[in-house]
Amino acid sequence: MSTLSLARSLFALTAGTHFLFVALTLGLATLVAIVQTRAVFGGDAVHLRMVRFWGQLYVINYAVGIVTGLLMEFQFGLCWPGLTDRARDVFGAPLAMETLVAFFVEATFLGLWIFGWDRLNRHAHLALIWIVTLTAYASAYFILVANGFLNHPVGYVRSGGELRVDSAGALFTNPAALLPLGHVLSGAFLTAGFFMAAVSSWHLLRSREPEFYRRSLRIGLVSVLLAVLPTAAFGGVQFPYVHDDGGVRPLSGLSADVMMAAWAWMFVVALMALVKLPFTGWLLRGRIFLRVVTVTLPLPYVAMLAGWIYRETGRQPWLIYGVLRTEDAVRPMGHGAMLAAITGVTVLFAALVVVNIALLRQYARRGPDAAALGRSEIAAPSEPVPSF
Amino acid sequence: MDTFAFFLLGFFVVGYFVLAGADIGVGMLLPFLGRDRRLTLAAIAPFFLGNEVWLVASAGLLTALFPVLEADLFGRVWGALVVLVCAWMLRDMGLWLRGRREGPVWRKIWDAAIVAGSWGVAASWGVAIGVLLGGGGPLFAVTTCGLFALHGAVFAVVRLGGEAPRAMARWVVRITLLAGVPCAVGAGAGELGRTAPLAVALAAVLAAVWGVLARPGGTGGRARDGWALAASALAITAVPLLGGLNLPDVSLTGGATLTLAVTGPLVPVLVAAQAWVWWIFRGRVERPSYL
Repeated sequence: MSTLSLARSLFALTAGTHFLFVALTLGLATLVAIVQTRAVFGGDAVHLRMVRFWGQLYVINYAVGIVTGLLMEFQFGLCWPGLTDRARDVFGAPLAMETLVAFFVEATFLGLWIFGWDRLNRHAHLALIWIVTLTAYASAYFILVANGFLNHPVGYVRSGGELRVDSAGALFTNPAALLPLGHVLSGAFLTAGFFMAAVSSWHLLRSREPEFYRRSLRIGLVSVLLAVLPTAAFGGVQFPYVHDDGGVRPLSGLSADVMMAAWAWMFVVALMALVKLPFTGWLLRGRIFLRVVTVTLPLPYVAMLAGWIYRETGRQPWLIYGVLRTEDAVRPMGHGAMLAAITGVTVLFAALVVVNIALLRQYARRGPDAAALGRSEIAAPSEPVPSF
Repeated sequence: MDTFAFFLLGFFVVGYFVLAGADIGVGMLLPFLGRDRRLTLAAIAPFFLGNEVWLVASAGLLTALFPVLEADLFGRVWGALVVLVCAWMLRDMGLWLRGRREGPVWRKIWDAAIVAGSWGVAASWGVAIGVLLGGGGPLFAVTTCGLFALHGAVFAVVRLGGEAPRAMARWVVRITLLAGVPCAVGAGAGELGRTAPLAVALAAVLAAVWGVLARPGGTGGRARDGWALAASALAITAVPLLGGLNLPDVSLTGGATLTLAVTGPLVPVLVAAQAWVWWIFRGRVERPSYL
């Protein structure tokens, strides 16, 4: 492979993996925030347990996701100096705003939410998770403004060799940013909804804590029902902004088919849920339905990834469509160094994904009493003390 | 506008070294700061996520404000930066995952990741900035490792109390003064006019830390430890200052006003949010945390 292909593969690997973590984080943060709101204002003990259980899974996923995001941030400087060099004003501005306006606040308050469980009053603690959720949306928005400019450059003028902001309004209301934002957010609710419903179904099939998981299942399925049509609608209206070039790209075409097939399956499951939701007894007795929901867990991920590949490969060979070619933006560097970097990152990311899945699975199966999050007095079995 | 942009970037870079320097240093010395490592990690647990975003913010600002500088920097120290990011990821994985499972093997793996990752971060900063100084990468890594470890040790003294962190801090300050400072001078030998004054100031600050730590504990100890922490924080600013003084001259060449207009006014809010976190966790560590 050429150095350009390697650099593109490295970016695809980083962004694709990071995106999978983000999909769950965005949706699950919201569901946890909603449950915590009910716990604070409703006073039902089951909601507090739900916050800790689902919050634990959210934090595991967030922590591993953030590690992949670190490389994302540095990749532009490491591999694509031509992009920031030419388009720092239009591309760099939303990127800088993401780090300062959104991520900085999100990380600061998430730390406080995790570690300050018993040090803050419950209203302040609730406010934290909502701030974390809203800044996560803001992050998604700013990133999609930067990404939208690559797919559909608007609001800029050329000044010398550089692209300058001509209309901040046009840049920040780019339809190629706002429509994907709707698509990604509703996709995130679909992901988190199916995640919550599938884990709950798994426990219900084993008749564990029916009250706890029945309520969780309902929240998950309602999230799926609310999100399934908007996901398709926001996807559909974006087609004019996706560069397909007449379907000559096998990868793009395949991705689009996979995405729509996955969505069709999820839509059918959502319809089944719609019929069953009003009848609690039937919902819990339907073992086939619970099994179907359980196996649907990976599908939102498949659809997310396929949709993203479809959108971003169609833009090639342009980095900024019609403005900057990908080959003109890549850092001219040794093939060996790039190969070493991509090998290292592949191994590291594979390990991260495996560890994340293993931990999510373990904590999801153990149930709410095993959650370490928010355990006010962590039973600290003195760990075996190594001697130096 | 140029001045403000430089100030903004400098603020976040120096903030990163002062804040994250402490938690990275604790990670480097994890095996030596106390017998219960979970308790040691609780010292940095509430802070490290909020600390590392200072570097993420710096990278964002660098991209938006100084892309020419970014391209130049990343070009010259590509390898060190890749190692830095990988070590950083390894360290974070260790911190987040260590407490998620019982079992000695699991703990040992992630302990190793935390320690190796923390040393990797400190050393690759040294190599990167050493290159900016004119070539003495590995030499300057001695200095950065010493300064990060010292800041971490003093932070552990303040957060954990007890004798082990204090003994460690005394050792590290001696090594940093006797080996780190000469290495900094050696690394910056090409530009002694700039390096020497900073190295002398650094030596003075380190001597002050040594003096404060050498006194026996007792009443009023925590306030004195606080001063030692302020001094070790001041010492670690030598790292970004030496790097910054040796950057090529760059200007904004117009543009970037949008970024400055949006992010500039927000800085007090961000500082207040972090100050709140530090205020809440200002006390001594009493029990293990979530990590």
